[in-house]
Amino acid sequence: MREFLLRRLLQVVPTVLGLLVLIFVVSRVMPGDPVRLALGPEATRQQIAAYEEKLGLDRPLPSQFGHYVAGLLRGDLGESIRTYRDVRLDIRDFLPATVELVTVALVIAVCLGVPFGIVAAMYPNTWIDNLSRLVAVPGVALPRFWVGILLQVGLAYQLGLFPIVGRAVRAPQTITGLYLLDATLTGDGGALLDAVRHLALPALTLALPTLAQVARLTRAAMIDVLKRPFMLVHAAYGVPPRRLVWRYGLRNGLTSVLTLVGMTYGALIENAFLVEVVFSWPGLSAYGAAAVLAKDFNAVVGVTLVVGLSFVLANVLVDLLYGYVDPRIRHN
Amino acid sequence: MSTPASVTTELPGVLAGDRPRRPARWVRRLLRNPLSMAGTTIVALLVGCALAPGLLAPFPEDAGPSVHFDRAAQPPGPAHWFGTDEVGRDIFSRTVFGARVSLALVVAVLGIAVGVGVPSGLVAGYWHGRWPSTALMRVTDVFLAVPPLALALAVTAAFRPDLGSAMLAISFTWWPWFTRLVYGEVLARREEPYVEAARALGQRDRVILFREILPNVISPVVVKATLDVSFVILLGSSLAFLGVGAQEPTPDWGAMVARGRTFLPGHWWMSTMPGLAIFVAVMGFNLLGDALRDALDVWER
Amino acid sequence: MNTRLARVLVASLVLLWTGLASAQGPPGKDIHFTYIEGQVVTTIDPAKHTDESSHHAIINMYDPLLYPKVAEGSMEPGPHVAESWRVTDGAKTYTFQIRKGIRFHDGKELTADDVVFSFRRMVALKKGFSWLWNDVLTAEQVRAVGPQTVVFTLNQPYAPFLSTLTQLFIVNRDQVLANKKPGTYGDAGDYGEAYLGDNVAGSGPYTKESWDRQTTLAMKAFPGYWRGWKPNQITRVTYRTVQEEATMRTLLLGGQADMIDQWRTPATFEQLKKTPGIVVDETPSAQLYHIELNTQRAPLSDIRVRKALAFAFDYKTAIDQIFKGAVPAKGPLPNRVYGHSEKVQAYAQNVEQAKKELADAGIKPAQLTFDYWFPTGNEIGRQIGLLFQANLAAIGIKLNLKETPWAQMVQASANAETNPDVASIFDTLKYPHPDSHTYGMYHPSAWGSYRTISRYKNDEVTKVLEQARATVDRDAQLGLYKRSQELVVQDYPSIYVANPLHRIAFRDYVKGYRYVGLLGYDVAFYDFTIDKK
Repeated sequence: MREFLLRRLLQVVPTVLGLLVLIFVVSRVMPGDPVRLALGPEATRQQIAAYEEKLGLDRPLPSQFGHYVAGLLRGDLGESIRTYRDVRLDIRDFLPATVELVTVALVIAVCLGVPFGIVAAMYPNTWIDNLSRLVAVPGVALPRFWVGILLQVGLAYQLGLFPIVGRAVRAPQTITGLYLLDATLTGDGGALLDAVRHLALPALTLALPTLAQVARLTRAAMIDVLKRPFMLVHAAYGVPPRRLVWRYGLRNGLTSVLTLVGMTYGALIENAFLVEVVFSWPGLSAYGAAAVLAKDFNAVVGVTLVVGLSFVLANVLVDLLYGYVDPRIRHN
Repeated sequence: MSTPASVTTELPGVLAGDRPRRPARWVRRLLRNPLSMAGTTIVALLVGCALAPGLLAPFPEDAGPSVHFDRAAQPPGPAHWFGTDEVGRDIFSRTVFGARVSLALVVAVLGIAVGVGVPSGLVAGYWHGRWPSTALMRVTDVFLAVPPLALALAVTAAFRPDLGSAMLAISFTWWPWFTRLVYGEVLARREEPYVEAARALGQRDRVILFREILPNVISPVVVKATLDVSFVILLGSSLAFLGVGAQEPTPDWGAMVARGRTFLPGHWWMSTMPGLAIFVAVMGFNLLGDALRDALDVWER
Repeated sequence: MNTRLARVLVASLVLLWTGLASAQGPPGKDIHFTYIEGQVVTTIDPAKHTDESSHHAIINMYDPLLYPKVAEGSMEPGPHVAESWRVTDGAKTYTFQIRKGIRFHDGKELTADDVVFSFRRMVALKKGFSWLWNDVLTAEQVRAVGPQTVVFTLNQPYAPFLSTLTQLFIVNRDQVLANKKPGTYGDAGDYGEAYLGDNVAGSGPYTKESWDRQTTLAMKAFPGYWRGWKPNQITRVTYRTVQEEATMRTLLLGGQADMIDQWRTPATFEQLKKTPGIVVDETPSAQLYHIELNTQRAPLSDIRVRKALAFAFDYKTAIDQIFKGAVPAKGPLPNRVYGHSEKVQAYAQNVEQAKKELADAGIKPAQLTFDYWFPTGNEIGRQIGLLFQANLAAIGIKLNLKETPWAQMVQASANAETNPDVASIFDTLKYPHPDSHTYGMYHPSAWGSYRTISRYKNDEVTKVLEQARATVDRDAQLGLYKRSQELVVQDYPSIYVANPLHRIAFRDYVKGYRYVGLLGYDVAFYDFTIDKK
């Protein structure tokens, strides 16, 4: 098991390195004078040259890259030309909001989607199954930004059930930056309720298409598992149907579900971009989108790096779980 | 497992059998299911909108340079089914013309993705084990490690944010999926008897690749491409929503949704109607893709 | 033990006593104010700010050397940190008397040393508005000649000099130096760049309570502010960033916000005007909206082509339908700024004349295609573009709309090769002087920014502007600036469309709002009183 773990982690290194190169090249190649934008239109040539020199933009690309990687290893992500401070600090401030949103959405999608899919698989072609089809088919097609707008107009503007935008009116004391966790840890009931109310619509918007996807694929995987000979054998031995499904069926169907969860997390992270814009959620993607528009290259690289790394990590985690669940894989 | 296409065509007429003139099995399977019928109809309608929008749109001039401030911001009604926007243009007509942009994007992106991905997958798969193949697959891994939307945004930041950049950016992120798919398929078929036979007969590698292996790989590629159409439309409209899409006055669904947001909730139709179009288009292609996959009887990977 | 306890007790009593004595905060109850802006506050360092939101933050937490005479309804600079001044030596030497009794938030008194330090810091960091003093002053030419006296020695007379000092915000020298980090500025280290990025070392009416960079800046009243406090002034401010128009509107209507920013669409203001309980303050702004034309590239280098475009544009529809009411622009200088020439008139649409100009130039309309650039998300720029496109299509000219991120527009205007041909630009007065929209836009030395996309070069105008800058006598000076406007307008370097109405919406219990044409100074929370029954 340990050997498998090591092997898998080692495979990550060239991928991450490649990722760095790719993003760095794209960001530096960006034509644009972010320096001029930051300094204002009336900046003189000397002022611009001075700032460029300070940021190291006058050196050749490979040298800049080396400089950047060295900085990365030190924890220095470069200065943002919009906020005038290390990108690392900006990311530290904005990442928790996105993490919280994505995690809650993932929980919703999996905790609702998987059981839904299992139940549909258990009773194929009944009304339950058809209901799941009715939700799943259009569900996957829903553009997230559109769903967000619809929910916002309907439930927030017109009915006033939820706040329209933002993350909180009363933020809890900052410990981790995750409002739900912080509010619970500090026993702040008001802040907890506030955070939940603000989280509801964005998380739901983010989760819906994924929920449909999860339900659909779980159903397919479970149907496949339920057909297998070993299930028949257990049934013949008299194992009750519910236990059959949940205990025996699920464990074998788990691998497909796990892949799904891994893929899902990645998709959720990147789709958070759209949801954050609609709900003015102060997360990494709002920061990233503004950085792209301002050609704040250090920030763009920093954000893409973080998102890319989480993608990679999510995949690694899934592979490791795979290896844990299915012995055939880790001894291959 | 279906018989490799090349073997049957090489055999003399009698052995190949005179196949009966009936519509292919997969077409019949396609038309049997109500869901797939729905998908086919929607796609047909969309293609119709893209090819002949002037026929379906009541105010075709509104897709071009025209402003009518006297009928600005009208809600949906008998004269304007989807209402009008803030400069008075008919939203239904603009939505119909918007199909063109979405489908053009799909054709461009998938064209490039298949055009680059399939050959690279063939090469990587066939010469597996040699360093060019490994290098190519590592590069593919890197591209697959970055979420498409983020990479597309970063790429478009390098250029002007318009439709061309969107096409380029999305193709950039899409080709690796095809490479990987084809790579897997080629690996699976490399050791097949008919390939060995061809080699034994002295066929050159290139010929084997194109004559024997490629035809059998086409099926999964077609299925994937069709399933991908809906994702490309979604990604394209997401990019347009974020500001990277067709320039005014060309109608682009995602951009229309984004611009309409300023007028929520009072003039809600400006955002919701184009969004509905995206939803219907994506769903249509989804249904068609599913049906096609079932009909072609290919294993899901 | 006992003596120690006694000492602590005495110390706390003394502190309590002095605390009570010096805290003359706003009397009466705690008044909380919520203001919503569409952009984030990017920095709270007064040497670095350029955008409106950061400007707002700094105006409320710091004091500048001079302040526009807002209370008198004028944008001209008046005494603030500087109590009085003398101009000598042919307008090259300015001697300022610094007011006594101004305290920083940490209690220290403001002296000449702080003024000199603040100036040197701005010039050294080379960011924000430091460009105002390029070629005019260097750090060494500013000296403290007494505890409350500062002398500025200029290289040559500079007409707008006093106006520029409304951007010199005074920081607490001792506090900054106490928190300096290693840096490239010799003894000054990093000049407190790191420290002032997160903290405030000012003397302004409000102090920073908390700052969540992406969304909210919270400020609270500084009891020891030198101008003192009166009843019903604001004691706590929540400055929030919300980027959706629809949301901002809803928050104001719902009472969760007291005031929202000026950049809302005309449609929003229409709706708000009709709502009871909401006031929409409407005054002509000192802002120019124009469509710049690149005079250096063919075919736009031919004045007849530019005139054709200017005559084709439908000014009436733009002002009535898109701006929903605005003052027609008369030349580049916004009408309400002092020094505006009465001889300059607004352009008008004349389609026949447009066709005639093209015929005179021997150009067929079908040969012409232009790219119209406008900033991403700029709703008015987009609608004007659609209108202009339709206007030009009517005479046979093709106009392509190019929605471009602001960063790219700024970058493109830096070089002649990439400079846009036709660009939609809002230009707000940079400093309260006609020089801002004449020299700043039409002198060749200013080429390379979004303000000079027209790349205009007329030797006579250049001479007039340089002379104007060096003229000491106010009337003669303004006369020259007026002449420059008259000359520029005849050359059609831009299509001057409108001075948009400055509109801002707030709840009716907010009193004391005054807009004098300058960016930012109208949202000084100290000036408002809240009259809630």
